Amino acid sequence: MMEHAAPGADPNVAAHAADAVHGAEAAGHAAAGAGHGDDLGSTILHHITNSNSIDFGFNDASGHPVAIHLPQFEIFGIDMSITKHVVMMWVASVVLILAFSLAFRGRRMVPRGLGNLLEMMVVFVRDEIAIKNIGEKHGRRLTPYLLTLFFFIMTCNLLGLIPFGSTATGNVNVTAGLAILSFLMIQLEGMREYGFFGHWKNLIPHGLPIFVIPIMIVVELLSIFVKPFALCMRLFANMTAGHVAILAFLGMIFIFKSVFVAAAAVPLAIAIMLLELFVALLQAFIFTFLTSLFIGFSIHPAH
Amino acid sequence: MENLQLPYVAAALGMGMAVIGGGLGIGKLAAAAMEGIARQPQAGPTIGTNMLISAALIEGATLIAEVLCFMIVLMK
Repeated sequence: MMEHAAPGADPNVAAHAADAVHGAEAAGHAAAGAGHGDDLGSTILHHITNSNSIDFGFNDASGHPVAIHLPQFEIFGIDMSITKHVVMMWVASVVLILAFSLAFRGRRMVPRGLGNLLEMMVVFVRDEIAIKNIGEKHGRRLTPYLLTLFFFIMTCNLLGLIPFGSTATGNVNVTAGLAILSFLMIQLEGMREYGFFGHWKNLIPHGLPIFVIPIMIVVELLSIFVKPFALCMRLFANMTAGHVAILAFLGMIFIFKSVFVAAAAVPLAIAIMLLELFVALLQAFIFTFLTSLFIGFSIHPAH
Repeated sequence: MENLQLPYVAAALGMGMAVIGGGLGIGKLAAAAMEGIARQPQAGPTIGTNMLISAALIEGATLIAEVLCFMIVLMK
């Protein structure tokens, strides 16, 4: 099972997975027997980390795991393989494009069914997130970006909860990419409003004593980078933690090697699953909300 | 001494302490927000949104600590 996971898109991820196998082998002899002959720790890691194949979780008649193997290739020495999470992001994009084009087919003034739900969410993002935090003029202009963030993150989160799916937002590289985009939007919108030098001058509030200014510059420069870093880690940790909790509860059945543990473990796992459903929506909202808040700070600095 | 597994102890203690901190923070925040809403129900939506922002920031710090604890286990 682990041999598929070893050469990941990110060499670090593969290294971590390999380390984890050693660590788990050293400690987890109690957990041996879980999954397909692996210990519990590596089974959980296999489910939440990226890999080069999409596993379906069962074996065929000859005992080999049923899996779709994805192409691996390099461009200019950089590993650009199509991995499980890349496929899930494509699936999310296709689902979104299909949902929106089907729901708003044939321009009705009053949407029906799915269109109603989507319109409610779109209006919520526009009125409660974009316009409230950024302001009427810029808020309307930036709504498409925030909508893309919201729906993409939400769909990726929810795809991790269906069978055979995996959470692309539970990969730190994906969330880092999203956070870098938000970082660029925060800085570029500030520069667009005040010019390149005006934007950097806004870092320091006016009317400070001279000796405070160097401290303020350091603090503000730090906060520029801490904001997107926190966005990245929050989404990644929330999505990973939920899945680890679900798998750990289910793994108790294998740790205790008794079917009767399932009577307690499965309801607990279902409860965490329901919590995950809420967290998936909440984290999409939080990411979008904080991005719009930071863009708002950048466009309307405190003087 | 080979069986001590101190990194696991450290990671588990770190996780617990991070949760204590985050729980206290969000608990105080929620208590204050509930009190505010009880005193002034019409300010509910505004207080709710601001509470969510602060909760997300506190939770962010906690989760970063949790991820670092998880890394201790992975890197060991």
